[in-house]
Amino acid sequence: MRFVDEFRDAEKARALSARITALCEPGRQYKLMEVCGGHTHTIYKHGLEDYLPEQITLVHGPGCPVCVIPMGRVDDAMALASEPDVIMTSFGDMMRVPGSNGSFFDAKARGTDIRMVYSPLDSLKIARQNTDKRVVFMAIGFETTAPSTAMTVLRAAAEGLDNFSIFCNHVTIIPAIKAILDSPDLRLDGFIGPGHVSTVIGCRPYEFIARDYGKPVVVAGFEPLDILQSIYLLMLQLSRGEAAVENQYSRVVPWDGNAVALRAIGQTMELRPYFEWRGLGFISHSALKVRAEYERFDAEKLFSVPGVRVADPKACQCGEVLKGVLKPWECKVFGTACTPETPIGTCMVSPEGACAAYYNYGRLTRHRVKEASAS
Amino acid sequence: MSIPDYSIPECHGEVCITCSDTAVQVTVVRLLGDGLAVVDTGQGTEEVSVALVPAAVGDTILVHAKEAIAVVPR
Repeated sequence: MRFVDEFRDAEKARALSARITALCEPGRQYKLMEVCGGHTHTIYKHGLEDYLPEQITLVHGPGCPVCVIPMGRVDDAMALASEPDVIMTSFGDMMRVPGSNGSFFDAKARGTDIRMVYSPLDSLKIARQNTDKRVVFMAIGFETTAPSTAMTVLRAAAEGLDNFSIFCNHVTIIPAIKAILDSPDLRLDGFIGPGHVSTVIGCRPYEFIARDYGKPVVVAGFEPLDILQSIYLLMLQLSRGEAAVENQYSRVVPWDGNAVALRAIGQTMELRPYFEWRGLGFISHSALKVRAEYERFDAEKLFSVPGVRVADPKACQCGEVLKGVLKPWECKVFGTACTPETPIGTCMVSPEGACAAYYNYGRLTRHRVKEASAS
Repeated sequence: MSIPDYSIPECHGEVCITCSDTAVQVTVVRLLGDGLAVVDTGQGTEEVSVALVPAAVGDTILVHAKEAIAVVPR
């Protein structure tokens, strides 16, 4: 299959692996962060860490929208869903995220009308078919998903729908990367940049990482060879002492992004002064809210939202995992109290989350490594 | 009590392709007007929005949350 087979060739992967190894300076350790949860998933699913020398550590970043949503916002959404005549619609991943009183699935089991959808467009259909109800879409995601929400608001406005709104939790990736760069906990050598976020925002927003922090960034595709090639490009820059933004995923990422999509986001949404991220705390200008011109589609204006900050469960170390300070298996409850079936923290909920990805795919590799080093 | 509409697909997969940074490649089969199009997903057809890309029939487009975000070059 085009764009799949040619990016999963084991021979080419081994050749890239050898070239990456050849670029490692003796005695130097490299920490590269893959910002995006989609990359984390590919890395574990295809065992890409097996192709890398021990000197290179991949650090899993905060690019899983479900993982970074704080518990207070889940409780807010639950409060909205409990309002009379409300139908809450949500992406599947969000359904299992625990709030202080259970998840959307638990609330659905208790009788709250919460429905899973593939897109905000499907929520609009539900609103058209249920004119006696108020449909609220739980909008989450980075800049990849925000265009879909923006277009849906524009469509609702064009149709004059008065029973549809969004609970906007869209976040923006650049401030999160900056927060990580400013974090004293972590020293990174380079970034594997998110692929589809960059389809929308382009590569220019990453230039400050190279210019101001002296770290290379390579925007990467999602197939195994995409990621290995991106690591090779990062290592090539590091070996030459360079720091620049490169676009490995140029087959779908234009340098300037998708101007029409950015315009739709800008027309309907604006930056919040600050927003809480799980694990990273409050980050200024890191999330979107509905613009005043479209406030009739803003659930935060139409309903009373509690807005209470809720601390994460004490045992949960998602924060450290999201910042890359801890590896998933170093968390106290990983694989014991916290599993994909009974997640305590959000990193175990979404398949894009580092803990779930590692739990599903990475454990065998680690066992192999441990056995090999013991023998 | 309203009856659920089963024509609206629910999200059941192992990986929720729409909530993350994942996007899928599909082929445009028919343009419907109003920024919508019927696409071939390889497993059937579905309706998506192409309002943000210059898509034509036969194009491969990259779709996330039923919104096309890029046209894949031929």
